[in-house]
Amino acid sequence: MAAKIVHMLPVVKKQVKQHVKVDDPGPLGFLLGIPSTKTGVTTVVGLGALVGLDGTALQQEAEDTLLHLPAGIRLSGVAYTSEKPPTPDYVSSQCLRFVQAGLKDVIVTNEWIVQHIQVDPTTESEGDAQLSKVFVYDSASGSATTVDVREVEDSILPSTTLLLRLQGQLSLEFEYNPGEDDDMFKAIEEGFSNLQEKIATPATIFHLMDSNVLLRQHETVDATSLPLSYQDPCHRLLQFVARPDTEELPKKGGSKDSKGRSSTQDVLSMQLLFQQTGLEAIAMLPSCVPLIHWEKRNFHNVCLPVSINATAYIHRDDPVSRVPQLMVEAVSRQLRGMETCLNMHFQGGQFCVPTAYHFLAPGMPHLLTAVYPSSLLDDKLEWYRKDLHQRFSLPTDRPLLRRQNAYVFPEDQHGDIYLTNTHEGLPPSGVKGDVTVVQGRYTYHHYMQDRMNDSGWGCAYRSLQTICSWFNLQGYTDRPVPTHREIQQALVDVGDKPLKFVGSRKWIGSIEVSTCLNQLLGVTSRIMCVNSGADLGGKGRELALHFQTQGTPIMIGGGVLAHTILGVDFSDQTGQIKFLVLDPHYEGGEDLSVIQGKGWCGWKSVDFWDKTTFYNLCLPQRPDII
Amino acid sequence: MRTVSRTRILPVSTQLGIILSVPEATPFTAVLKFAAEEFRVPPDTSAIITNDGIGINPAQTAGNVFLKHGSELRIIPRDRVGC
Repeated sequence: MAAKIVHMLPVVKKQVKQHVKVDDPGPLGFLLGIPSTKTGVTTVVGLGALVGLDGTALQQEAEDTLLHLPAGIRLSGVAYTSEKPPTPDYVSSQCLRFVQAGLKDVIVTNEWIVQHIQVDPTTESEGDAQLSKVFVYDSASGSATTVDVREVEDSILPSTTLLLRLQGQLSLEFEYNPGEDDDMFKAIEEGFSNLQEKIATPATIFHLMDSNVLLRQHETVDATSLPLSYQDPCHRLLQFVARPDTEELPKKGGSKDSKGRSSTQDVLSMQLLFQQTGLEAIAMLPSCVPLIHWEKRNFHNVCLPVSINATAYIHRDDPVSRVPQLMVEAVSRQLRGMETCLNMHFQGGQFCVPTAYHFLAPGMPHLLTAVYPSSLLDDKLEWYRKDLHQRFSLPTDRPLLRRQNAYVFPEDQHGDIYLTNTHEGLPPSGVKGDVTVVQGRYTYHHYMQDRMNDSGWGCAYRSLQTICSWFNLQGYTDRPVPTHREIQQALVDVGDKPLKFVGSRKWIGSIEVSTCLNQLLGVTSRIMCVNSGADLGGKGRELALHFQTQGTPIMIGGGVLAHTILGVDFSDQTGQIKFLVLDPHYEGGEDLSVIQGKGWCGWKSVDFWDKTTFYNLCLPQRPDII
Repeated sequence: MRTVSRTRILPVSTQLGIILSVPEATPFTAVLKFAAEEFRVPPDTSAIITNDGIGINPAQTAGNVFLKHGSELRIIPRDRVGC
């Protein structure tokens, strides 16, 4: 038998490292993998870390992890630390303990991928000195063998898999009598159980949107009239989707994808349908004469809409027959997630509507899903997000899983009114120093937008709008970008301006920008002052540090002009510096080629700034929230 | 009994600062006005920031500001930009 290989994304190493505790060896978490039916090779895409304090309740942790993953990503194995060296016998004995802890039920395959990390509690540092080895453990025979790990690029995921997306509407009805909570929980359990059964029947159809393809589980007869067989590789499904004529959408980004991604992820959108006629539908009906039982009483009937919004990953070469299988698995997971959410947040006779959100956090190669209750705002769910941040090794100093952070599928991105990240795709500045730029996304706000003629007075307002868009897009606020009037009103509210300021065309500057950011968004800013524009040449390090640590756009005001600084290219060897400037004085339309070509967004030297005047800069600071 | 706070406010350019004593409940907008008067600059083209350069939202009492940011502050000229 050929030596088994396992593919692993580089991000897994980083995630595992984050959770290694040298002085507390034990299980770290579950290895998450996507198997390929064709090659039999699993790609490990991440670690689902344990968040419980003592490593017990492994089964529950496994289920909790699974509920937040798209279908197609399964628990492929376990990673753990140990003082002992990695030998097949020791690995087998460790895995036996995991089997006894009940993991055999959650790791669906018999072949577990096991990562053994040897730690030495006597060493002070936790560097790469740890020895890590990967095995394949056969849970049926109890034997472990070493396996070849091939590190693959993070970008292998979008290029070798399809992202399946499923939307559909179900509903759950149950009786609720205040005071009889136990009966109600039982009714909810039964209701979800019925939905689970319903999904798995042959009457469930998955319709590939914008096509004539209908897929069903366990189909052996190729019943479709299309030239498509259930054994075909699933990437063929892409050909059947009717593409809309691509209109002249505002051009996004430059000619080159600045991140150098080789390909974007292909998405197949599917719709959940139920067959109403035919043998399969008839099979769903009870096979007996109905008896009618009439009972007259008062009771509360709760009718809960269950909006299915699920995702799954599948290898491009996997057969079409696997698609409906994965869709059923996806719905099943989501129903379990929704049931948990509903039960968790039931309070005093109030039911929430569980809603699923998907997130693609920076650094994560795959989507995460969370089901949030409609009844609670993001502020009340911080404890839940904290758990998820830990489980999936996400940074804990910035919001990534708030509703505002939800992933927008490419097909849902309508022709946006505003251009995003207009600096992407620009050629280099020529300084060849260290380039640090704004992190994340912002929208470009400038004169004449929103049918607002603010030419000659609104530039600082527009720069402030760009900054507010950054805080909105990064999930720090769900407050939309403020209008000129709202900005003016905020300044009146804090007592900085008289009442007649609202509706005027009065100029503002960086101090007003920082005051508004605080008043409207709760954001604190640092003010930097320079006596002359020429002095900005000496601020390279400080600005670079700002973009590295905060990554927020900077508003700069001086000599009657306001601009936004999005980055610096600074060489500490030559002292040369260039500033990435976004100019709010632009009055044209959202045409990226003009904006980049004519320098409305571009690299400027220090001569761009006026030597004869002082400048104030507003450097917004990220609030420490998740 | 009225509690009073003392704050030292320094301009960016010269070394000479001023010391203001104000009741803690004083709105910070008034502190700015007092300070600007002392330095003989128009209050609406001046602003007060902390020693570390943090911008101060004037919609708070003096006591609150001193509690959060300390009592060593700076007065700077505002930029006013438009065209």
